[in-house]
Amino acid sequence: MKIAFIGDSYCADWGPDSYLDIVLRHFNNAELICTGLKGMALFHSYETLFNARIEGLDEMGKILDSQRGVPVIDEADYIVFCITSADRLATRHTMPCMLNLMDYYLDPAQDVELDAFLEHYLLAPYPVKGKGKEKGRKILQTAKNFYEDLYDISYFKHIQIGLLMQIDQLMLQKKKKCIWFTCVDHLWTKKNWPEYYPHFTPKSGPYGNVALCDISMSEEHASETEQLQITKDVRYNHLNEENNLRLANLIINIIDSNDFTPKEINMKDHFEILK
Amino acid sequence: MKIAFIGDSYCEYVTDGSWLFFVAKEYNADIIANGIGGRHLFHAYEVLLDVVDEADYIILCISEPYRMPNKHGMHITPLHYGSEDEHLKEKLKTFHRLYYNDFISLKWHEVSQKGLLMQIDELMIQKQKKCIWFPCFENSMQGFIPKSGPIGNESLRHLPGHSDTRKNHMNLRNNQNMARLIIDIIKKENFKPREIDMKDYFEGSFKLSFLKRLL
Repeated sequence: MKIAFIGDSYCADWGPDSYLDIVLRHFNNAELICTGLKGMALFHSYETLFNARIEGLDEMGKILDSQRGVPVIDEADYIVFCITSADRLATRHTMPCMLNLMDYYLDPAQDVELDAFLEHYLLAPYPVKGKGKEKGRKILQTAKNFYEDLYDISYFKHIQIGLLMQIDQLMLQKKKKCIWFTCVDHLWTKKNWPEYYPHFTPKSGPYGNVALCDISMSEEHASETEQLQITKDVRYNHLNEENNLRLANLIINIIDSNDFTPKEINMKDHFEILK
Repeated sequence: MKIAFIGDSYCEYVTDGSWLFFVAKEYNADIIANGIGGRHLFHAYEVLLDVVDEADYIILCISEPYRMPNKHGMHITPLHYGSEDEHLKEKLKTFHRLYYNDFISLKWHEVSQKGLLMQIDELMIQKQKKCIWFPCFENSMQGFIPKSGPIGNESLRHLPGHSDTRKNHMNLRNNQNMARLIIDIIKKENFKPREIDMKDYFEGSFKLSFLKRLL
């Protein structure tokens, strides 16, 4: 069995108490073929559906056509979506991009972390310094300027819904078994924003009716990790041990029952903290 | 009769000699919206949302995907940008260069464009609107074929004789041809989703139909 988790940091961590691992263990070490991308726009998660695992390179380091793997979308038996917030900007650098993150890394006090960020996302070569670093900093500054001077939340919400429509359509076309969770925005939940999301409810699978962020922030000590979007959250997938287990059990139950009817999942039935 | 022309500079000019003018004159219709030059499709969509309930007919001219929508509604295209605000203009100068040289994900713009087209199409169907679609550029539709109305099989940019700053980027003859095409559809009340063969209305040589290239 092969499972893909498509989304952001709410499905990016693995380890013994991560719900991803619990699900895999339950299904006799099912194969994890994709995990979430921390801090990135939904568009970049969408791109991972079409990525193939590369199994071989030629002597020049190029991908051998014969060794090209199958794209995630075709390989996955089950797909779990954790839909990130609409405010993130996609870039050609495939890097996390949102205003508070740019503020954080451009703060002179975070200079060492800035170096690590620039190097990790190939925005500047190692060792990060001089002109390379300045160019990397300019890229981040461009994003910051965009958010401060031009960013139109209404547009970002509309394109988020447009992308969700395309993902949903793809799932239906490929007849994929999938489960939908929203991480931050109240997309198809009771707190929905009707002015932005007048049409979209997934037609390809069941969907949680509470944002995972609401569960995360209801946990004890959650306020200590208010900046959880900036990597300081030590919990797996922004959830404590108990809620990782509960989310795993929810996913396991759906897979075991093989019921992928598009319907609302009442999260209160699964998370004590919401009662 | 009320007609909304939704889009960019290809449906911006409403004065005598423009195709919008000829269509409105033919039916003694009110033009309740017209195109906004250089703006992203999203800004045209915002105009559409304001007039959708009022419009009897909606003509959609779809711009290209690489423009940048923004909270000021300014035009920002890969080649041009503009603002009345001097302070903003200065900031925009730096942003524009960095964004289009170092930052832009073309694919993100393309996928976002398709998502907006899907929403517009769904809105037209939901509201049971009579509409006609025209791609202004070859990459306007991103492979999307609307279900809500007929669509021109050639981008307006590729109309024979196109190349200038004339009304709606067309000479008088083509403004008249464009008007004739729309007048015919409205007269026949045939809004069935289908390919409109632009050669039936525009003389001269076309490149291969973008719909045919899709197939």
